[in-house]
Amino acid sequence: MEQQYGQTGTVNRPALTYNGDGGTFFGILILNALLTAVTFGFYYPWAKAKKLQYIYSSTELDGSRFAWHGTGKEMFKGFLKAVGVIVALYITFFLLMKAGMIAVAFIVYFAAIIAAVPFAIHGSNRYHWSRTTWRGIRFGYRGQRNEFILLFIKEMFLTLITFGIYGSWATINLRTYIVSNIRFGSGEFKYEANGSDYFFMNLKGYFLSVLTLGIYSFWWQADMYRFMVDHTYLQHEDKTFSLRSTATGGEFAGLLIVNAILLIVTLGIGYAWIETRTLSFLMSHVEIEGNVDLSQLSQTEEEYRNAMGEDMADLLDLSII
Amino acid sequence: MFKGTFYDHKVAVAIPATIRIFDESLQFETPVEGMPPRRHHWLFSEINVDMADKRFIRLVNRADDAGTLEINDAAFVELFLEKYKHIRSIGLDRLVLRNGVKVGLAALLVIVGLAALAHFVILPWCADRVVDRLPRSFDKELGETAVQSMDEERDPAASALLAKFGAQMHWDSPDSLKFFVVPSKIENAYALPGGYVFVYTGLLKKLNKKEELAALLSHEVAHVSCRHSVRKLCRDMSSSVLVTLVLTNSSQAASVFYSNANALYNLTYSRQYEQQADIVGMETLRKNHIDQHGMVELMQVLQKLSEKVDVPEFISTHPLTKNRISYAKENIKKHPGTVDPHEQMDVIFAQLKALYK
Repeated sequence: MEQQYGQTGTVNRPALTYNGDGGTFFGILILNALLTAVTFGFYYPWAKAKKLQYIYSSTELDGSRFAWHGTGKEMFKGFLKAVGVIVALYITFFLLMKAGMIAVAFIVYFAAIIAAVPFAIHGSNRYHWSRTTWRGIRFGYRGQRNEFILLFIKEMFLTLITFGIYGSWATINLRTYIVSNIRFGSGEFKYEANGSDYFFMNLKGYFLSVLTLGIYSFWWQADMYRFMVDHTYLQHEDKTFSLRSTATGGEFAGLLIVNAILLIVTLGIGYAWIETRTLSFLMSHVEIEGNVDLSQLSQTEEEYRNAMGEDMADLLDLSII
Repeated sequence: MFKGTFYDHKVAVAIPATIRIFDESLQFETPVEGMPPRRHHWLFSEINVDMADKRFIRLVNRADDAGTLEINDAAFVELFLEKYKHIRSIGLDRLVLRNGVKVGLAALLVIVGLAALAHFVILPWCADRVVDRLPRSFDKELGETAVQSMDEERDPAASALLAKFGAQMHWDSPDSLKFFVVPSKIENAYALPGGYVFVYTGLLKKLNKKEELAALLSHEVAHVSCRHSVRKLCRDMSSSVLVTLVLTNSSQAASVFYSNANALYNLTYSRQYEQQADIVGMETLRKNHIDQHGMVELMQVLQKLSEKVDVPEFISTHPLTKNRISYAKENIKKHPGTVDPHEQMDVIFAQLKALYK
């Protein structure tokens, strides 16, 4: 850890790096594909665990690697539960239809679909963070399920009746809720941002992208990434780490254009290298600075092994974390 | 002695550890301030192993002496796995982590091999078995649907003469055959499953003798009796099933590549079918004591028509006419046949030709 001694005390700048190797990651993905194909898809949860294990173990913070402890078995059980819930929902729907209560059937159906998304987001966060550790210290997510579902429905409703204009505020409010409930042992994450800033940033990004025939979209991408990173803080006791993105639009353009070329000329086989380049890019462009002493973080978060939300999120094709 | 880092699962302090490996356990010491170092003894049976790459391994103990030991040392990883594999087998993924891209490429080859095997051998075989099980009435229905949807204009007088011409021959086909003449400049003919044979006047005008017409009809009827359309349909369907199975999660580029390769490959199928139709058609001619050279002459007529465009064989639906002529000639040498005069057919052929004077 780089340390500086100033008037306000110690300033730490722990580095965040991704050290994964495209070739190894390619091996993992292709082996996963092979096993998933020959098992008719049943290997999927194990494949996912292998992939996440590799990505987490290749990510380093302040010289120590992250670890992913989720297992294929947990995610397979979660998958069965998620499928069970969906099947139960369909059965209820058809029974209500048969009983002639068509209106009720549709209300139940749509209510369940609307609740499923926040339910999945909540469950996925709980599972995902609980299974992530760094130096043996667990992360955690402390959001309340019902609170989050209500918040989600409210934000979606407002977005709907404003024809999407409220979307920027909704995104920021949901992100604030989720990130501020993430714990890193005894450390707490905070997200502090303003929906209006996000709205005007997106408005500018949208119009400039249209005017420049899409060229500005790389700078818009950089702005969005910066908006996510720069408003995130880690607090521990009375000390704070602030994050800063150093990725510029030009660098994003370089990354994404080369990615696209790689994907095309390798007919998709280069995907592993693309993912590696992207992760490496995103992490190396985060600067962490503050007076938190990472070695003082202590174990506070409980273990949570229920992967149902995680699988539900996969089934709904939500990409959350 | 190896160096590692120990974490006690209570605080995120990195504690240096010196480790020794034994046959079924490992021992390590962690310093304690002002006291002799603390000694830990972990049995292989109580630890979880998380190998990130060939240089880094993480051992997690959830038993009484809970903690995580991280070692960033290739020599340690190798020695540890050597000892540990007696307890638990080393999975395929560990192989990847140790050998990286090589295992990936090998796995890719296996996938491509399996897909190719499935595509070129297993699926066509299954599709052919399915076709053998399908009743002939399926062909008939398919053909009827196609006839209705295409709804081609027919020349009733010429069609009647063509049917009469066809009736002069004995056909080895379980389907009841129907012959039609379609007024059109197109120089072609085709058959639909269930026994519908269509000849365009464009081609009919180019034919010079009854043997050529007999060869043309024999070729088309062979498509019907060998059920080529239904076979092609089943093969196409099975390969599209394979595509969805294998390529569900792969990129757009890969699927475009596959579908193009598949389209090219389907053309080789179609050339195989054409050749089979030629050979079976000649057998029909032979059995009817019609001169098999009619097939060669028909091909020469077709060659004249196609002289204007030169299509390489691998993107053509039909074999090159040159090739067709040479294998047809060889086939005649191999299976010579006797020839009857068939005067009635000459008469009908002349009547047909007279319609288009």
